Amino acid sequence: MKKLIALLLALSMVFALAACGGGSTPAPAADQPAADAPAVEEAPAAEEAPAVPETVVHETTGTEPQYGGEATVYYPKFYNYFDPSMMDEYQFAFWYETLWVMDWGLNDAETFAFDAGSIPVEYLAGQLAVDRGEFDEEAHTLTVKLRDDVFFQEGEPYNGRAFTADDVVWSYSRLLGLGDYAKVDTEYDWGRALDMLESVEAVDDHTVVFTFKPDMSTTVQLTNFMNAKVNIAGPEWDDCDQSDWHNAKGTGPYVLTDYVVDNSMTFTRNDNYYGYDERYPENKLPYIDTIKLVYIADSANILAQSMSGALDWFGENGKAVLSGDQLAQLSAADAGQLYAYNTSSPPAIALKIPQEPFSDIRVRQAMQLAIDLEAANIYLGNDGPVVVPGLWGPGLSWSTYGEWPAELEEEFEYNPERARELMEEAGYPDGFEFEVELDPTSNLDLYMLAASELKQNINVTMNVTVAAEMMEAVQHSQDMDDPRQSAGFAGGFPEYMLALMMTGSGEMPNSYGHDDQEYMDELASIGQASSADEQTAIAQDMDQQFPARHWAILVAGMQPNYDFMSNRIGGYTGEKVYYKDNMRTIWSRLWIEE
Amino acid sequence: MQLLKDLFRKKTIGGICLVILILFLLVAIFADVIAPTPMVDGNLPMDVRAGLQKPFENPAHLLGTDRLGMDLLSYMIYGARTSVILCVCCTLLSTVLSLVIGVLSAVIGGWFDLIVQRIVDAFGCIPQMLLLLIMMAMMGNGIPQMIIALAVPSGIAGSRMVRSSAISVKDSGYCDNSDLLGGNVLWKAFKHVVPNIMPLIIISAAGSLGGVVMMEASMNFLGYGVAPGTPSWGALITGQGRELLFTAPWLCIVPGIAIALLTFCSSMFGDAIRDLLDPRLKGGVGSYNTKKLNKVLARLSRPSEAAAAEDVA
Repeated sequence: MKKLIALLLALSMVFALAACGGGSTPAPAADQPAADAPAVEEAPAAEEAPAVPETVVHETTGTEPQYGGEATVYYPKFYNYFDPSMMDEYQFAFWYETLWVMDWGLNDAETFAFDAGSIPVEYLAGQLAVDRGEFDEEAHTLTVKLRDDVFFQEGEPYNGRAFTADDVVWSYSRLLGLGDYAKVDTEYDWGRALDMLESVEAVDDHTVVFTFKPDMSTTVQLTNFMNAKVNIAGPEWDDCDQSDWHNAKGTGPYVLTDYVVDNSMTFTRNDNYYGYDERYPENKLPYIDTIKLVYIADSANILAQSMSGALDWFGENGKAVLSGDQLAQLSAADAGQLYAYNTSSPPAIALKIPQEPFSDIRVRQAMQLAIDLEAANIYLGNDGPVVVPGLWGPGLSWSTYGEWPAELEEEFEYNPERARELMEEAGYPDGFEFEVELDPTSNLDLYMLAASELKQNINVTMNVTVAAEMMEAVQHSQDMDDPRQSAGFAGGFPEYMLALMMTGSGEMPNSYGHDDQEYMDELASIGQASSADEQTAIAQDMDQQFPARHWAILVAGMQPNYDFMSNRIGGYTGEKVYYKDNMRTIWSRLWIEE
Repeated sequence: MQLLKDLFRKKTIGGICLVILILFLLVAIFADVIAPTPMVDGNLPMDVRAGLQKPFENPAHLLGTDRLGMDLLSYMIYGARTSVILCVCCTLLSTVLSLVIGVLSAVIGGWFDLIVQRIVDAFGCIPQMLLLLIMMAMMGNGIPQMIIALAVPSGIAGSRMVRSSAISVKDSGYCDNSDLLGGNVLWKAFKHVVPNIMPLIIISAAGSLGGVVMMEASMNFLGYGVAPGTPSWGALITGQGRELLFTAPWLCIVPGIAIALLTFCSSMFGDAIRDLLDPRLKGGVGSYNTKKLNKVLARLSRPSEAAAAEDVA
């Protein structure tokens, strides 16, 4: 009997294996990618220059707005920390608000429209501020009119009191220790982001004036100021138990009503929220009663829950949530809509340029030529063209993508022969060995693929290790004496990143591990340009300077980011939910379909 | 040799399992010769354009390919090396550890035994998985690190069993005589005690082989497995296998079968050895010697013999 059972078991295993061979998944042909990418964007013809996907203007999903219901949202990481000084995390976006927010109604190109002739914040809209405010003639002060219909959420510590200009003064001053306010101990370096701010004063209950340091009233610094998303709370926060999530209150559309550490956050609609839906001006926001953020440990589970309708949304949050194959499965399941945005920076090996042999640009060029970016695209399930960005994201106003000179284009095309020549010229005909430490969220396979190609084509041995924790990897990557190189992203940045790039700390000239003063000076000159044309010319030059310097070795081209929105959700028009402050503005305007 | 004969004669399934285990060992040793696509500079060649081929679809890749285009059969063969190295090294190290700690603790006794046993108790209080994760987090990923992380806690835990066996032996006459003849503690421990508890050690070691493979798969799942790039069945399941469960199920099924087979064989082999070496189970109901059992039952069920037995009584 035992033998019979063993035989049956063995047979069933063999059949299961054989069944894999006869499955319905089509076999990839030699000239075809291994798996189909989700059919969300049309790939351009192969012979044309690789085009950047245009922003798709989607029709509003669903029927008429409805109130009520519950939505479940994937959330990757909870912070057991509720102080408003925390910068820019999704979870805070539901209960805290800022003075300005990215205009959710703008499309891709307009979102980052940069008007050098005036104040370069066209992509911002007022939130707690009525509008973008008014600068004086020399741009030394900014007067901001605040909304007068805003109330804090009910319950301790604010008990539903009215929002005033004093709250703005408190929120900004404590970050820098301005005036009589003690500087708050916070994880985020606000001194760097708000260095230009000299003082903030309340003129009356609903007007504040920001004064900037005279030598820092440049366009770039002001951009930086307005992009520093300062959560607005009130002085009562100082006197309450800040570790108690029940006290995490603000003026936002949702109230935090339950929190399970590292697992979930439940938000309930704020009945006193001031917002109205611009599309349906008579409709008070928000529509959905309950939004639950949940952490789901692995991608297979996210996929299963999305397909079954248990999960209403997931989006890009610095790393791909699902692989290309999984996205293809989800797309085929017709469980919702996938929206693609070709905006992420490509994954790369970030090099510490002062270290040998990376100080020699020929070595860096050779390494890039030895890596087949098209193969990486195929691996990632992306059947589109290889998109290598410059400093700015393709499709943005300063990007010169598609207009690069032929020699620059060629520096990113797979060419092992030329790579070997360059290695020989640089004095490394036999290659060399180095180590790359990945953070735990990096795509290990992608780096293993690059390691294989480096070894095979130019005999460079790239030993890949994975740090146990993200912070450990970050610390190692910032230590210029540490021999380990790191995983990073290269280029394709939105324009608003410019200010942050230019205000790097003294220890690190910037985030790319180089010390190229000429480049930094030119980058800085964007902010001092006297006309929009001059500014654009410099920015476009920088766009090509960045890839030409090869501070990082791309291991793949630019990949699309995705938002998945389930069929249950109405009112969505394809905006990028994953911009953190968009979580609040967009989710408050969505509804659940009956 | 007699043990081997008994294994194949009395415990056929255990014998077959031993053959399979030896096959795994040979595959691991001769991986470079057997693998259809040998490793180059420590890496299996990748060809993304030939990725995700199904089993039996292409004669060049009998078990198909993974998403990176690596030949799955070759990966499995090299993965066997990782598993076998882990199995053998972990089992050896943990056995030696438990032997040294358990036997010395039993033979020396007194305050030494007291202190050592309290330390062993303390280790026993810490959840094994937590201990493994802490050790791996401290040492980093890699095969040597995994061997230490898996073997040390299991060696310490196993020492309790060795100690209790050693205590029953150390007070026997020949051990006392060894004392009288001037044999020191080490002599007594390793000359007299260890040989007498050796069957128990072998049984325990054989039984733990399969557990190591399972534990390696679990550790990979938690992100504390072998170093990146090292072929490992567990890493394949928890990496691409899990991600491509629906589109490329063979990436899960093939290593899954291998792990199941190795674990099953180790377990059955361990059971068989236990039955043959443990005097308490020799020929008893607990063994797999069903023929003998059936004979006894048949004899007892015969009425004449039963009546005769009653008369005698």
